[in-house]
Amino acid sequence: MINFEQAEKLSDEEIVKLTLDNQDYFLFIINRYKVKLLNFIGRITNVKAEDAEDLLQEIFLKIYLNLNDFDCDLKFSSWVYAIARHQVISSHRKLQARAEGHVIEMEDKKFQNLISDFDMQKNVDAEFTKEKIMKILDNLGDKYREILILKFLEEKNYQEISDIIKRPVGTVGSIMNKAKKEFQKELKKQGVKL
Amino acid sequence: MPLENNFGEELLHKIKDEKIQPKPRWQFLLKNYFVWGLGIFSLLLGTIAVSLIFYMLRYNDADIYDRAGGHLWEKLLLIIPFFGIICLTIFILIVLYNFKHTKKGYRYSSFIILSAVVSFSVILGVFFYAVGMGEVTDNILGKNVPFYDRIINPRVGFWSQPENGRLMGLIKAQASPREYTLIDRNKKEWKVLIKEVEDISYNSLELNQLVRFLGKAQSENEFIVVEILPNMPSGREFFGRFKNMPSPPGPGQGIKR
Repeated sequence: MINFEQAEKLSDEEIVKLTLDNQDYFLFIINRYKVKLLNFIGRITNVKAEDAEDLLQEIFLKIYLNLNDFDCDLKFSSWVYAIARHQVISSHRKLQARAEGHVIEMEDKKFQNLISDFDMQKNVDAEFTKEKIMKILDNLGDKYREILILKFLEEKNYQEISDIIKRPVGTVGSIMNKAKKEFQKELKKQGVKL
Repeated sequence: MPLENNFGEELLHKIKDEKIQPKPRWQFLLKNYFVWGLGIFSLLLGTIAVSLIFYMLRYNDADIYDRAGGHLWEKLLLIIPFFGIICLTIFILIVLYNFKHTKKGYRYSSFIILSAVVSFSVILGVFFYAVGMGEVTDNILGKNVPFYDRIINPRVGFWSQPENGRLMGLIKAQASPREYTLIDRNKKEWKVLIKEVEDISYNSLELNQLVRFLGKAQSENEFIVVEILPNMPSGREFFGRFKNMPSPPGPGQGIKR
């Protein structure tokens, strides 16, 4: 029998070990990551909502199938995001795209992180700026959009991003710099004051 | 994006209904060992390629090519052991690819991996060369690879152009102190006449010895020797294929065995 209260307190890594003995524990992993991953799918692809849910199901099935491959030296969340990213990339071409582009939603806290990182003036109209930022992110190249999303919206550090996109940390830093430059260039074009 | 509330439960039911199980651990271990194994194997082949490169460079005959004729680019092709270099490059790329596909290989930059692999290959390759691996490799290739004389060791081809005054082959018979029968790389027999050579080192020519001559082709199967060149160690086993060919009938007497 699963003690739900106790299980909630366990780390992801502990839940993985328990899942290998009792598949019911996998529900905890699903519940912890379903919203995060669905948002992630929406941010890095432009698939339709119904396709996104199918994709999410495929991602969880893949996570479940590959549980024995999880390396405890990695963060479980990085491993999960890496699988999600891989699955999204390999399924993306098969799925229909939304006409309106990516779903890049941003909570206020994350928006503030982004503003402070790019030294944007805080007295500008927040909603106006937010909308423009989302549009700029939407229009950036896949590589740059992905890395900015992982950093500012998924709040991953460089090591985690490295483990997710399977590139060295130094390369992550260099892509990040280029992405920021590209982003700033677009901000200026859109008339957002820096 | 909205998500159905019972998404997790439905997915778990699906897993149970379809009896989906995590892939066993041994499958991942096997894949991991295969990637590492292939990488290490390629690394070793790369070091052997390095030992072959050093071996070919050591006996490059650079000093002889000036006398032997041929274009500059041709000499360059002969001096630089391209086959070994291409093999080394391929093996290094395989190591790089495999290392990148190990569990944490992506954490290292290609530059760091390449530097480490090249350094390791050269150091171990020099050691292999020192213990004679380069020669052994050349012998194995010469004995077994069909295109050895064209691709692996084009020096054999270069020295097998009687029309350009270069002849290489195996001594199969001696008719007189200054007349030999030679088998070239195409298994063609040549009557070799050592008339203009002052040096008497030809006296030491022995049956089944690999020799190189500079001179001129007098007819379809007759070659006048002007200079007897020192032995070329590489390619020995390529001509070794002809060792068991029967000696030509007739002037087979008086051969040193």
